Amino acid sequence: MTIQAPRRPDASMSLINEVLNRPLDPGYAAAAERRRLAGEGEEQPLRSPVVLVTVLVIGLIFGISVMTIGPRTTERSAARQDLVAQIEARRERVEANTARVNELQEEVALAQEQIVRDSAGLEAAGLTSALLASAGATGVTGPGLIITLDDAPVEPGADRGAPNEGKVLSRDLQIVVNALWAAGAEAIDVGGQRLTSRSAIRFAGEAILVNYRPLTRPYVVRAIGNPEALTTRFAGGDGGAYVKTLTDNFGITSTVTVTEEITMKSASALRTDHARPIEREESQ
Amino acid sequence: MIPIIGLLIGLAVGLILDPSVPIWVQPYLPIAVIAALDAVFGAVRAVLDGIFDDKVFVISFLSNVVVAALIVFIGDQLGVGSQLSTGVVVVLGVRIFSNVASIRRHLFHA
Repeated sequence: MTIQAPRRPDASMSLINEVLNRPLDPGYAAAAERRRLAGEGEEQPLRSPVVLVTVLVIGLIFGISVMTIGPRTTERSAARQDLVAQIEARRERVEANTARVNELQEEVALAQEQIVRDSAGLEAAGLTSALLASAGATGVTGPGLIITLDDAPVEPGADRGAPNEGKVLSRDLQIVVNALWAAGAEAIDVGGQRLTSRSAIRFAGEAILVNYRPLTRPYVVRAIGNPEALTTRFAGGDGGAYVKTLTDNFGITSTVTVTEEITMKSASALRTDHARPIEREESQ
Repeated sequence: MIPIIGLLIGLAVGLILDPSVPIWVQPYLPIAVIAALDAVFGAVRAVLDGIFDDKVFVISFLSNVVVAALIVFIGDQLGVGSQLSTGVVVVLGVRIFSNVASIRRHLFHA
């Protein structure tokens, strides 16, 4: 009857033990043993050419890796930098051109008013400037509401890759803007972009575009109109309820402030491609 | 001394020439570096133990690199390349650590 040796408690971890306890290649010990048996000297063959070549190759691998893996400032990041610089330069140009367009539009509106006043009288001039203002062709100023929407704050420790449920969507801005129009707003801009009859608030990837210009958060919607009427009709209507739902369900932050004076620029892209005024006959 | 100089020369050559590595080799570079480090520390420990052998050194280095690359290659084909890379790094990393610990005991008697 054979007595079984007691099972080692760590028998199931033989692989780990192997790795931890015998890290040195057993080959070294075996080779040393062989040499000792063959009666060769204890001298270590450190200078053999094979070792030198191997060591050179190892050094080469290190060097190549440092150059290849380490600094990735290679083509990709260089191209990225270049693109970022281009985007910034173009954006600056767009901004400068927009400012110029606004300036010229103001001049045009003034000149138009002047002409109409000279040719058709004061009343017609007043009508023209009112029309220009509501079309977004001139800068306007007046009391009104400022509504600021912002994404829900990301909770610390939340998965950064997970989609943020509390993001403001283009749909939210559309509903707020429509509610403001319905509440009697006379002029609205979103993120400094004046809304006209041809403005679109829409999504492009992650960004919200207004007049084809991307917005950055927080999203500021400004509406000129009678502040009391705007406040009561917006807060009491669908818009206020919608904003409250956004805040309650998704954590989107919103503030509504009444201001005495809001100054808006004119819309930059203001033209019609196909619609033309009906030509009146001269002999009317 | 000569191996250290050889290592430095190889390093310098790699840094200065900056040879372009083919794309298909690049995934294997980190693994090759770990395998080479393992071979180097194993060799240093063997030298200090007084049992260094050139053939064992060369063969251990080559087999390390080849086996590690093979594992990563097969893993890539199976779609578990990154996991197997991690496995290779863990095993070789543990070996490097204990070899360095042994070297430390030799050098500092601590």
